[in-house]
Amino acid sequence: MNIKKMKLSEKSLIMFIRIVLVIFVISTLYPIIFVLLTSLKTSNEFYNNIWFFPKEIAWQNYQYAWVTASIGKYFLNSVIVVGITVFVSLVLAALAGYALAKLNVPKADLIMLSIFLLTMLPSESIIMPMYIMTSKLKMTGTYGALIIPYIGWGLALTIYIFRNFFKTIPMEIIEAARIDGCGEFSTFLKVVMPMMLPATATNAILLFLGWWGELLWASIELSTSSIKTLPLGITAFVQSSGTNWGPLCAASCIILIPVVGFFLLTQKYFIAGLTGGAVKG
Amino acid sequence: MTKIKWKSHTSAVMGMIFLLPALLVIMYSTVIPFVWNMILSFQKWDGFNKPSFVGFENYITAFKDPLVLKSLWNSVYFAVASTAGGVILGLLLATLVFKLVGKEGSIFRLILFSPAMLPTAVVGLMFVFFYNPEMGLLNNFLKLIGLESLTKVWLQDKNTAMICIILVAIWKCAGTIMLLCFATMQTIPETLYESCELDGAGYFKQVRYITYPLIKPMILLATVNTLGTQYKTFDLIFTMTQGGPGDLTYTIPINMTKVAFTYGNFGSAAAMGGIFTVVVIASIVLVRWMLRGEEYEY
Repeated sequence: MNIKKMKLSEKSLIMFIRIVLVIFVISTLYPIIFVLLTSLKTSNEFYNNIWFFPKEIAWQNYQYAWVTASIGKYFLNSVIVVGITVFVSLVLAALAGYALAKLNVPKADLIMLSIFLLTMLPSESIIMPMYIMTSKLKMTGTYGALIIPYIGWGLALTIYIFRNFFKTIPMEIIEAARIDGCGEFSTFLKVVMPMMLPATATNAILLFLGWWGELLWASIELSTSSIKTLPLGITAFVQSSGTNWGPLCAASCIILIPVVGFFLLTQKYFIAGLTGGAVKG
Repeated sequence: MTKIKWKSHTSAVMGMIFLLPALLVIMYSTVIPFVWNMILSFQKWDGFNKPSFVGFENYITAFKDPLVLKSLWNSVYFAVASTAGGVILGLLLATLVFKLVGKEGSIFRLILFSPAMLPTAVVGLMFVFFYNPEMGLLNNFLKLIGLESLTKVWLQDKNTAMICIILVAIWKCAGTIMLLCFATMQTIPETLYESCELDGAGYFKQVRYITYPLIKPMILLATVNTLGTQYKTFDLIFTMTQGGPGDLTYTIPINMTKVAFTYGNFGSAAAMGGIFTVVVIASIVLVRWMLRGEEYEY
């Protein structure tokens, strides 16, 4: 009797939770879906039919955004900048994380902590001298002016995740490779690298998501340049086109689609990495 | 013995070599600019002529400038409010989603987390649209349910502009906090709940007396992280209001970039950056202190 009652209340509790969560899900998804739907409506239809599916799909919005508003060009810029940033960050951080986890670098914990504290510094106290530095080095308006700082600013978290991962590799495996005559570098290359796919995937996703939408530094560094990254291009597009909602939403969708795709493909690694790095094991 | 020592010594040297490239890039992108910024904050410099030292003048001017004080206050208000909201909502979502098992739970988690991965600039634009007085979702929704009197020019109204942006920030950050708390909840041994259930405690009592105390370290970590992120509000405010209406949503990042790159007053901007850094670090330390307390081993 008592148990039955408990079972029943457990069921109604779960039902209650479902209802609450569905409300949150709607408020999470609806703004996104709304932008998607609007991107497929002609402006005429948009003004008459705000809420529902478009009657005829207005692909011309995408064409307008991609070609006329140069979003396609900016897309390519972003791919280059973020691609190089992610790749170089992964290489540097994997090496550094390995060194801090498995090679007897003195004061490894202290080094990790200081790197972390440096990233706590708000970018506001860094970007201005950074701007002066890049212009003194004659890099203003080049891809490098974005890529090098992006790499530096993202390294702390990337190193941290790699380091935590490498700590879980048993020392015996590495010792065995050493005894077999492998140098540190070939141990890393042949023994450790094949094992590090999960951490690499996590980091790649975090870096990609972090830099794909970066606006502050891009808007300062590229203010006088004709090169624009995607987020910057879209903001400029908004400011120039006012209430041309269809193409505007199409442009937003162009920046979102790679993110959503990438996320859905890799969410397993992403969530594991995000939480694995932070939860004590 | 000596051989082992020698070995660990060589691996330490290799370690430094492995570490070096990363440290160099961090040096270039963080340490040098930060130190330079500190120096610059004591100088007067327009970006072209030779800079001259002026002592604390930039700081004094900054503290006397009402716009700087206003933007400092806005930055703190925004960061604290959105962090508090995000942590509370995230924790609530984690508590709810924890009860759902299997595929259902993971789909809910995935959807609720999804705003976190969207680029902030795009989120800002999305919500400009959402709040738009004529075509926006919000006003149209209010009209639809007959509450036309509540419709507003949300982002231009002095009572609602900041709150509207804060809500967007919460919308975006709650998912990450949910996920972090959820993952920590999963590490709590089942037996603890069982014994609690035998004592007749319902789910929300279990949560109150077992789950929350045990995941407190994660709540602290999530709070500190979120606070740090929320202080960097540039993207959201830049895309939604650009600091307006008037100076209502002006924050330090917005103010600073204007002073430096529009007015060419690099010294003052650097001083603002310095003040901002102190405020950010102080509030993080404060939060750590407020949420301190014993950790439970389990």
